Order: sequence, then C-alpha cells, then structure tokens
Amino acid sequence: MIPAISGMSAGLGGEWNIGSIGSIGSTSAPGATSPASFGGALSSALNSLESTQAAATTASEQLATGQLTDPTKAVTAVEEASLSMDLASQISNKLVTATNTIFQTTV
Amino acid sequence: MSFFDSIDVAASGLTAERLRMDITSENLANAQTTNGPGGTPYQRQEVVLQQVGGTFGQQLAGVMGGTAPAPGGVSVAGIVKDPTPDQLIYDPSNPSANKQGYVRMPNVNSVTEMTDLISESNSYQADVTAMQTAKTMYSKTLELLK
Repeated sequence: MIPAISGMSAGLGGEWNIGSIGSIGSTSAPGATSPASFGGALSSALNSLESTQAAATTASEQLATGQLTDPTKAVTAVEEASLSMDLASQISNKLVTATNTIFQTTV
Repeated sequence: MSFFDSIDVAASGLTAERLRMDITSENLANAQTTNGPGGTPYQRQEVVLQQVGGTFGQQLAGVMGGTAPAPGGVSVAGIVKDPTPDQLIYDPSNPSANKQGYVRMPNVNSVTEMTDLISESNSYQADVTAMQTAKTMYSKTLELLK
C-alpha cells in the first residue's frame, strides 16, 4: 500500500483483516466494539453517524413544531450530521476504490 | 478536542449574542415605560457573559498543572439591572407626574442601545464567519480523500 495513504488511515490499522468482518453483527452495541478490528471500527463509526443523523432529525422536527427556542442548536446538529455523512461517504468511496484495485490486479 | 468543537464554540457565541439582542430590544421597547413592576420606572438590563470552563477551580488547575482547560465557548452568567438613577423629566400633563410636575423616566439611553445593537450584530456575524470557516476547513480536509 502507498505509505502516505496507509499513514493517513492509521486509525484503521487492521483494514485488511477481512476475517473479522463477519463479527459486525455481534459487535453492534456502541462502546462494546473494539476499534482494533476493522469491523469494530466500521461499526462504531456507523453508529456515531446514525446518532448524529438522529440528532439532526430531532432538532429539525422540534424547530418545525416550535418546540426549539434556539435555532442555533438545529443549525449545528444539521451541520454536524452533514459533515459526518461527507466523511463516511468519502471513506466508503476510498474502500471501494481499494477493493477495485485489488480485483483488477493481474496475477 | 474533536473537530466539531470549533462549531460548538461558535454556536455558543451565536446563542449569547442572540440573548444580548433580546435584552437590547427589551430596553428599547421599554425606553418610555414609567410604570414598571412595583410602580417604578423600567430599569435598563444588561447581559453578563462568562467563559465556559472559566471557573476559579479550573483556572487554578490550569495554572498549576500547566494545561489550560479545553475551549468550551461562552455562556450567560446572568442578566443584571443597570443601577444608573432614573431620569427626571418635567411633564406636568403626564399622569405619572409627581406634585412638582416631574416624571421619573427609565434610565435607558436610546443612543447607547443603538450602538449596542450594532456591536451585537457585528459579533454575531463574526461568530457566523468562524463557524463557516471551521466547516470549510473540515470540508477541505475531506477533499483530500477524493
């Protein structure tokens, strides 16, 4: 792997440990996952993404129904959800590119 | 410190400036109110802001340990009343006038309130710019992955 890219994704150190992907379902509880495995890192990242999306939805609903007195809270919740989603989609794109690269390797 | 902290700090500034704007509007609206609570004229109000994480214990720990507390933004310490004495205006026809014909008017100066409004508006815009810049920085970092 290219050193610059592997250094950047140091948090996902075990990303080629494909054998642990099968444990995603059993480690879905947030906080209980071990970030050392790729499956655990992916699972906790998706859980935090889901919670930011839920917070944004709640804030938007409260703003629409007039329960939220501070519009700033809704703005920050929506912005954080949007940025987290961008990050997740970029990482997903990167993984797809890496997988395609492997598949196109001529042996 | 997570990256979203800068957005949260800017958001706390937005909330604080909004409250300052509310209080200034209240002062302007009641600039002629001679019958406030208790029959006294309206008293001008001011917002006191404080730094989050800026309590004495945290500051002391920061000085002693050498590690300053993480930035947490701004919060409202309280809304206080301006102790400046009321203005006495001669207006015998006013029902609130005393025997000598003087009316006690609120201690609100419209010019001061207008300059406060401008200052609050500028601070709000500065906070919005800070939030926008933090967002742009994060987006630019994400573009590295493309």
